[in-house]
Amino acid sequence: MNSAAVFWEAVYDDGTLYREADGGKYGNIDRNRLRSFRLVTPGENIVELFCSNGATGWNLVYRRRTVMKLGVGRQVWFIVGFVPQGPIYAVQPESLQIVQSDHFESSGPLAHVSPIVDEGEHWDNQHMIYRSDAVLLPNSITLPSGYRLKVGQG
Amino acid sequence: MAATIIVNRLTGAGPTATPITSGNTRASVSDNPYTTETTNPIPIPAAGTNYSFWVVTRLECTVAPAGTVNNLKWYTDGGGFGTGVTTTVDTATTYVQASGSSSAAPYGNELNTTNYSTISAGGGGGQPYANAFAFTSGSPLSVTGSTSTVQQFGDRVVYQLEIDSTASAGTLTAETFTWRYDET
Repeated sequence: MNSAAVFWEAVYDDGTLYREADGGKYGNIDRNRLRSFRLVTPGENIVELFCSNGATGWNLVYRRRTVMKLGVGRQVWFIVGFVPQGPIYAVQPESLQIVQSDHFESSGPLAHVSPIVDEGEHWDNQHMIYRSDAVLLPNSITLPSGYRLKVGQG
Repeated sequence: MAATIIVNRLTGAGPTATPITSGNTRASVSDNPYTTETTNPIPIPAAGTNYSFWVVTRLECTVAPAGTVNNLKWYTDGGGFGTGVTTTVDTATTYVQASGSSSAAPYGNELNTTNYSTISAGGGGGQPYANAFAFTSGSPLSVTGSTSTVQQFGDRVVYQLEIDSTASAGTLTAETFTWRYDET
């Protein structure tokens, strides 16, 4: 499977599609209306995530991650998931490898991303709230002006 | 559409950007984007340290993303060039042409904030990070920068080879440096 043939599609609550292949932009996804988000290649769905377990369109994160080894070649991973609820998937089309976790990892295909302005919720990678009985927090948190701390329900 | 990103080596006063994504780039005691040339090799000192001219690299977007390219990382395979060869590295917010002498020790001017004022001095005391090979996929060097358009972008990644008397003569086995980025 060629990474160049992998695209995302946003499925809205009325069944309509907003597609990358049609020129859609990730930042223009109507997150209020998102029902599911999927990666597709001609003829098949690779992975589809439905807004559930408290996740809404505002929790969606998607990235196309490229690893360039100079003089060797490129490898592309597609990252898709919900933050902070999880799950998060990293898909490598050429090898058909899929890595899954409940949260971003410190390294590997699911290494942290940097939030961008397009994303609806501004979440702080350094204080990611994990789905756990114990909520892990540092002794104090200083949030930038306009940010709020949101705790996910497990 | 997915962005097209390449890696350039910057040399000269301009600077001149030479793509190095698919090939080899060689450090020497000159400011030239050598690939396999054997001119201007780095002499092994009898004592002390000799320096290569520092190598400046930077990303360029040649086909714009639909959204944004960001989260730039740089890292190595954790190996190294071998005994007597130390590789320092740092990020830099501007370009400073490599300088020094091709004929007299210590050859390249040492990479530090005195000679390259806009490096981040990640090693402290005006010094770059002491060991580039400490940066691996699990602990990469973060590089500031992002783009949504066609352009060179992000901080430069600058590295330099330091040679001491225990090094062995000959062509060093090439090491692979990796850039990673995200896009939407």
